[in-house]
Amino acid sequence: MATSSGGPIGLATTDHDPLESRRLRGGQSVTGYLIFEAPEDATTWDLIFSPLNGSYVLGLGAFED
Amino acid sequence: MPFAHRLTSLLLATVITAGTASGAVRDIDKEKWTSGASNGRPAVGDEVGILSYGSDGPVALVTVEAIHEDFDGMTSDPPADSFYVAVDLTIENVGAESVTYDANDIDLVLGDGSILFSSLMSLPEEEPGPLSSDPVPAGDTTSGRVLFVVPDGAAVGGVVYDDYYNMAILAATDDFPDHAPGETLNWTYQDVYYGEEYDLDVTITDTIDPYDGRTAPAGSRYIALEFTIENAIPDDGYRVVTTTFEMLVDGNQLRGAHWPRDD
Repeated sequence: MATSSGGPIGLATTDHDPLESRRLRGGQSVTGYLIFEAPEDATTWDLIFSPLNGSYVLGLGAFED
Repeated sequence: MPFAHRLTSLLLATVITAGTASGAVRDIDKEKWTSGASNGRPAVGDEVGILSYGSDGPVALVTVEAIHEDFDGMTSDPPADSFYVAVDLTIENVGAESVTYDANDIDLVLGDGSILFSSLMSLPEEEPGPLSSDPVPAGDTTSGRVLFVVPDGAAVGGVVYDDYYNMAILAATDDFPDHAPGETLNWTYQDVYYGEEYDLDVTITDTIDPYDGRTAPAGSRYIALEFTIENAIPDDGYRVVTTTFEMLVDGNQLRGAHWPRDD
């Protein structure tokens, strides 16, 4: 079972650009995908986001189509 | 939890007493904990499995027994513009090896989504006493209390386990932050090392579930989330946006972000 968060290696696909660390000026943005491994039958999620020094919970609940 | 914080915590840690009870290793249903069968967020009183890298199931079950808001068991008043919150926990070692946890592994979630580290202030020794950092042998159970100094006006959203590499939600309250994908969230914070202020707008702009661009391990599926992160600071200063530590956590498990190698 993989539980390590690993490092930002990037996606080996051509159809989805990975989200990459970036230096942004005010007003600039970065867009990209991250892949998460999830239990096969789990349906609710929360995201832990840790920019540099702090951590934040993005309480997502269940994804909707 | 940032490494520097953990290191500081270790250096400043005081000797605390253990409240450990011996017993045989409980025969738990590991499938319950590895399949994500328990959807929804755990509440106070629920057992939450804590995984260890390479383990085939939880090595410990952690229960938040109580969250004491406006905790009045300290001998000193809280710092200005803040209040005390104490969290009582029970940790049962259900693995084959000793496990070690301490207050640095327990964080508080506030209603705005920010995560607060535990306080280094010494708790009174009265029951249950501070959470011990002594190893818990296989089959044993330990209980203890963790203290937080919370800014006035903040709501207590829940408790999370955080060992730097893995996180799990231990208990959620009615004030746990809830957001829908597509909703833009604004996070402002100050970097403690360089003093820079950050102001980020974060939006999940696409969800692919399941993501079939890769073959997932047995019992798992991949989910791809598209993020858009904007530096909302109006000046022209650069800010580095790192994507290293995002983690997707289901209601009763912990799962790390996964970046498949091009194999």
